[in-house]
Amino acid sequence: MNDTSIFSIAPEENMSDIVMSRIDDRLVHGQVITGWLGLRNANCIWIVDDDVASDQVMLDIFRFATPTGVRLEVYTVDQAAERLNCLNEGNERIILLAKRPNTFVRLVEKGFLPEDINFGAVSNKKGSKNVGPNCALSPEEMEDTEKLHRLGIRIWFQLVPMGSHKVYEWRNVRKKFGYK
Amino acid sequence: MIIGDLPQVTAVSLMPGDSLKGLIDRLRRSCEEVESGDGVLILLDLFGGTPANAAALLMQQREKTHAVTGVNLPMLVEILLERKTHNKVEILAQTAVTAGKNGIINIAEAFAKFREGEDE
Repeated sequence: MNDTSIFSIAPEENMSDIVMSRIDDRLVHGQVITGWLGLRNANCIWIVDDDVASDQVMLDIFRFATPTGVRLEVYTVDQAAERLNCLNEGNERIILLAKRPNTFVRLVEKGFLPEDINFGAVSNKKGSKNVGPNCALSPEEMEDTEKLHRLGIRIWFQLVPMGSHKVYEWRNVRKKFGYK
Repeated sequence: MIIGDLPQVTAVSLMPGDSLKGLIDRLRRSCEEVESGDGVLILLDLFGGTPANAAALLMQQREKTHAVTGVNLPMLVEILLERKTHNKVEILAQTAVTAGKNGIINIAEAFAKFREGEDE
């Protein structure tokens, strides 16, 4: 082993990292804890949601649902943006969960630029259309998705990592929803 | 097939497109449907999954409501028989846990042990 490897690797290895950015309005649930958590070797989940951050009951439920050995943090958008701008040491491999694309639009406005965002389960609501598997977006949510796409962020739809599920890409389906 | 008719039993499914809130509402309605005053036991698949999260939330709002994850057939058979003998839902929940665990057996291991016992 030479000297340079010690100096170049040591600080990097300590750094925390966002290993997945995901939209999922059920937040911490089966698809995340049995699927993505292990695949991405994550040891930390962030929920970024202004409502959940101030809802003690929901907070307790999600803390309770988080497997032992995995840390759960719940932040408002402002708090998350602040933390993202100075991810500290501690070897945390973080899955960042938000209920809506708008949360990521707001995070991006505050300086966070993920390479890609996975869209998981997004429930039906008035006026929503099925864009990906189990992913129903309202017109506003589609606008936000397109905004993220135009920033160069890859948008992909996949519920669970297992099996032979086809991965849908926003760049391939956006034309169907009127985006040129 | 094993137990016969099942009064005061209903199934609630998590469907594609469901939200956590939507599932809690349906779970609440189903509890009202089967409730006769002695309480309700909710049997769930995965701890940490949306159905279990919904049940955990509902338990904060509803009296005599218990829930057990990891549902399996040995658990079902045991509690469906036991509930005819008393009306204590918290005891039923304990029975569910014990029966569920006892019902999980590695056949190769158990058979080897059984053979050892035969030899003695």
